[in-house]
Amino acid sequence: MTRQKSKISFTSPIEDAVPVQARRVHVIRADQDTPRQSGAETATHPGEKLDAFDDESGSLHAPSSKPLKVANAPPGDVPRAPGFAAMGLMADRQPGFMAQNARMLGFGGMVALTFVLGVASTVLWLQQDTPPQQASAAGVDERETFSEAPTRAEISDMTDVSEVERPADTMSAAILAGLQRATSQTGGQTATDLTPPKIIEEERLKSLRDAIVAGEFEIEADSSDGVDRVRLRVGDAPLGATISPDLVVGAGTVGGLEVPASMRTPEGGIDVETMIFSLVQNSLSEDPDAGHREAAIGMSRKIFAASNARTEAVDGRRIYTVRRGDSLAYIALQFYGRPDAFDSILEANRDTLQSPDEIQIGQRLIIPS
Amino acid sequence: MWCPKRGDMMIGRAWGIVALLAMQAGAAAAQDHLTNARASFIFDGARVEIAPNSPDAPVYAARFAALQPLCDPDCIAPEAAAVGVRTVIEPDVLGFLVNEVAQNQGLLVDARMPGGRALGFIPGSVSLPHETVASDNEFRDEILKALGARAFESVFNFADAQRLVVFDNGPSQNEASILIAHLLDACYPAEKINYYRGGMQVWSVVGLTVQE
Repeated sequence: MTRQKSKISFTSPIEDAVPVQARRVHVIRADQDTPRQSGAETATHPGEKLDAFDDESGSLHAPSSKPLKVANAPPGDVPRAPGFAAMGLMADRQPGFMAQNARMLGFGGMVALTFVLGVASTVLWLQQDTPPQQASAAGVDERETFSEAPTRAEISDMTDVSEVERPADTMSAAILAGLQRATSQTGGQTATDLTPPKIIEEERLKSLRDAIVAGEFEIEADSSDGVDRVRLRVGDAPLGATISPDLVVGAGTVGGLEVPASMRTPEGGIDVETMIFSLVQNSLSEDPDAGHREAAIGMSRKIFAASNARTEAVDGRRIYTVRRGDSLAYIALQFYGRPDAFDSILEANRDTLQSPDEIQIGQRLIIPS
Repeated sequence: MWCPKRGDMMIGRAWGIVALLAMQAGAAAAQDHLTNARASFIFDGARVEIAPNSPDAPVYAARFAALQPLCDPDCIAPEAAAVGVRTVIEPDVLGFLVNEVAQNQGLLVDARMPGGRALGFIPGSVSLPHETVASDNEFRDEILKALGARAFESVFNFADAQRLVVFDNGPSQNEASILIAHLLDACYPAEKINYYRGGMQVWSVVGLTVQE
């Protein structure tokens, strides 16, 4: 019986445009289906019924409740009375019928939306290697669009974003970043959308720290850019690839946060590898655990020992020539083992270098011993 | 001691090739000089001349030939001192002196202890007794820095380190092999080390200049 009632209930949105007589048939049938059911409420008071219906329409419970109320009429009453009540009710609430079935429409809407989003994300996923598709899909998911600029070739995990290199068009990247921030703030559905961006997620930072303390990292040479660099690799990704995937690396900023001048490259980009290295190392250095602090030095040891940066001796001084992708912090890491030791290089080159972010490719820097 | 995998480092390979080419160029140059087998270069602010048919060569040859083998008993040094370390001969050494040592790019290293060096040495060479580079020697780090390595928290970077040719008294001795083993133990890259196996014994027998 309940099932039948449910059926009636489900058909009601369709009946919205059906004449009153047709609807009465259903209501009466519902009434007849439940002749023995004794309801605590009486159906003789339309006012009460109306309240009950109002409550029901506003709730998210099973849709069978409306006919149940109709059936609540005592069997001893005239069969027409509950039918009347129901019919009258429906007639009365004719203008509010949409509102009454809002949950139906909402449910249908959710199903449709889920379907549309599913199709959209599938299409997006399949087409992500074709930039034009991504560009047009910007409104659906900005993150997928941004992953066009960074290369994903090196990663196996599709949900991750590999080392984010400076987008070819910084201007458009900055605009997209602005849009992303705007949407995340105006359309904020959860509280996390409103928190300031983190360069590296807490969970990821923690797992990186654990891996480094356990010595589960290695050194690798990267010559993909035509310039040999050394970097740390944790698991299957270089350190720089552990940057929060929804952060955009723009001109001098990451995720809208200003990046220190010592992390800027001559090309105007960000040295993401050294930036993440520094973040993780500082985090470990501040740990009360001596083993963690030792691990922080261990990170530097590996980079320092494997560095291929060469100097030439000129008048008893070491001279280093700036290469593509260098940041002053990375140079300091290679010669002194610490990214924050760049100030001694800056100091020794005051005549030719006023600010860490002004280094130029081919510039000759004195490396003080 | 942990050492970075040099094979992964492209620049290391590149320099290895450069060094090899330099060696070969030097060898070629030395080939031209082989008829008179001489080298002339500035070392430590003074001109050094190495010439064949040195008048006192037979004296030195007899002196070095008379040395007791240092390794147990009557051993003969193997062809290669270590994996990745190239073994070179006299024309290579002459080329190295002219092309690398004179340009402050390399050092001709005498691995013998002071007593051995006192018997006579190759002009333009520096004395680096093998015991000073043993891992338990407190001066090792300073010596590695003097060779061009840079240090941080007990690890070394050898990107700027000198290319070396290491020698000792000759095939009946193993001091050069000991020094090379110590250097490799300190992570000195093998491609920057060369082994002149002939040493003083062969050097004096072929009549090249010996300094004392």
